[in-house]
Amino acid sequence: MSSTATADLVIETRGLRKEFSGRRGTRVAVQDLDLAVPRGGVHGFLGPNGSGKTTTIRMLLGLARATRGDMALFGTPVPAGLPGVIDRVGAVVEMPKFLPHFTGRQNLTILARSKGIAAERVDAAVDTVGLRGRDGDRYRAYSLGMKQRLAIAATLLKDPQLLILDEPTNGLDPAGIREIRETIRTLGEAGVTVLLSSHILAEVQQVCTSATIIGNGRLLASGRVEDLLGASTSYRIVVDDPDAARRALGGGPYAVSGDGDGATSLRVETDVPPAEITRTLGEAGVWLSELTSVRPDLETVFLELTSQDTLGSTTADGGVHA
Amino acid sequence: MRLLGVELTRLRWRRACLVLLVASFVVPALIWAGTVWGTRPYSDAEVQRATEQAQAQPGFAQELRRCERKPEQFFPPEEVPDDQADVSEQCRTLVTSWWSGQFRQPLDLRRELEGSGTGIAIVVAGLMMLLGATFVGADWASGSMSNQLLFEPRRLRVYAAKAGAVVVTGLLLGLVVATAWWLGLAGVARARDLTIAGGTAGDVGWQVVRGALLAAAAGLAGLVTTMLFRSTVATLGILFAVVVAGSFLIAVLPFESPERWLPHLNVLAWIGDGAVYYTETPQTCVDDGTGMVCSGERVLEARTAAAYLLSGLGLVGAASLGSFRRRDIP
Repeated sequence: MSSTATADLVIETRGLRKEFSGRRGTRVAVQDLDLAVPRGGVHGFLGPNGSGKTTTIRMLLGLARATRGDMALFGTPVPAGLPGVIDRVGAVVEMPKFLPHFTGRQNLTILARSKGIAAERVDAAVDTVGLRGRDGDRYRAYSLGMKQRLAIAATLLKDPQLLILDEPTNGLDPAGIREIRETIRTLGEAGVTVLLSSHILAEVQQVCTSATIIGNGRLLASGRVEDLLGASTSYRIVVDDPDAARRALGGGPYAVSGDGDGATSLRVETDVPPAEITRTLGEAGVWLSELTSVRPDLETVFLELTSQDTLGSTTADGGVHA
Repeated sequence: MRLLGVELTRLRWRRACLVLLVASFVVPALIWAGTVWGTRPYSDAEVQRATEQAQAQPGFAQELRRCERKPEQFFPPEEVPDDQADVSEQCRTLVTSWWSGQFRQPLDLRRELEGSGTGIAIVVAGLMMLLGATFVGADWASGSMSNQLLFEPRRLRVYAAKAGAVVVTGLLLGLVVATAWWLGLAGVARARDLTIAGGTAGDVGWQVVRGALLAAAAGLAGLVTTMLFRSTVATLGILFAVVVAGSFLIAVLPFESPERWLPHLNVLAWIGDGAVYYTETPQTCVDDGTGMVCSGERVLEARTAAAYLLSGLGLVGAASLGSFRRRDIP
């Protein structure tokens, strides 16, 4: 992939495939996945449980061996070139994994020493994730939220240019989720590329600039979040006289239907800007009480895409079984 | 070297490893104390009291007379004195020691080479094997192996650093414990004015070195087995299977001399610079005057035992390394 890897892509996969062999046959976890994550910003990596997100991340990080396909980080083919780029990558894969009898600080110190990272960075990472005062406690005594914080602290030891976070807010309380969200947003704005795998789609929509949606190991959609959501072409209007509004907007660039929310509420599908709707209704003597852009959220897009994808896992020969 | 330092720190911080390291000092210390206590000389008062009690018993005089009449039945031919007075004195000493229960042997470093010296080498090796297993077993059980590989993805280096930490610990521990053990025993012998046979120091030195190498190899064996099966429990199960089922299997297989393949005999041969075993086919026959006496006795040499043990370690190690390099990390 070295000759074809795109320089401005931080993560790139082509035809990536992963098969697991077991007593019940071969199961395909990832099939022919083409993933492209541009440099900078926060990129959402979405998919239902078992869709292959974590397997893909693990292959990128050298923890799992790809059955087929090419991968590159910062344009360097991996896993062969991983030693050359791993210092630029921080990652939390699935649940935090540390030695339970070690303190949080001991766990971080061991990791830092393996890369010759100064002890001051351990202090800084502990402070960043708000573990100061509890870093001397044994890891097994930590709550799930504290374990997540420690895992994020470990990723920050290396001052990464790429941060791969797999469900980083699992177990965090609302305040913790907000803190992590802000941290992710700040890192993204600071030039760090963040690949965020999460089930909390509202959270992804809030912080991500681009996203990839996969299902059953296949790419379903990818691009800027705005593009995934699509241009807003639907409006909900509330008027005193719905019949007059229907007559005013009848024909032309408008398609009007009942909104179902009430007798005074209508849904208008159009390509024209909302100001034009206002003007058309005003000229007909119909006055708006409310005009709301009705945009699909990421959850809606996600559910639409993944429900179209066949449920169940796929066998090695390309067949599907539920 | 940096990774080796990290792994040594990780080993030092692991509580289970610390317990095993402490046990590697405590258990030999107890064996040392037992050896020193079990070879303590009798006091004059003890000897006086025991002698009086022995000589007061009804059968003592009869036994003494039997010895005086036929000393060759009580002593080896070369130790039978020519003078009858000396025979009487030697018989009295011997029979008194039997009847007084004075069978406690004085401390003899050469004898301890095959006894408690071998024992502590095996104890330290066993504890090192557990240490090697639990050291990396914790990495697999907690899942922290993947975390480590996110910082150093070169699996060979990670494996080598872990193995290096266990080997270094085993070597140092084996040397320190055995050296302290033998120095302590030599000090006791000197304090008791006992003569140390010539050449003993050299033999002890070689046993210390062989013991340290065995400890390092045992630690490595525990590590490579756990790296292969990714579980301390699996390693312990396999060790149990090798000791119990393996010995049984070797015994029933149609080898000419199955005993030679038993792992524990090979360990003893390595530590003791050779070990005796027996085959069903007689090796030598001698005429002892009453007829031909044949023996199936054979000696398993230390280097043969080392080759056998290293072959086993090498096979498991190669499988373990190959597995670690290729298999997915959970």
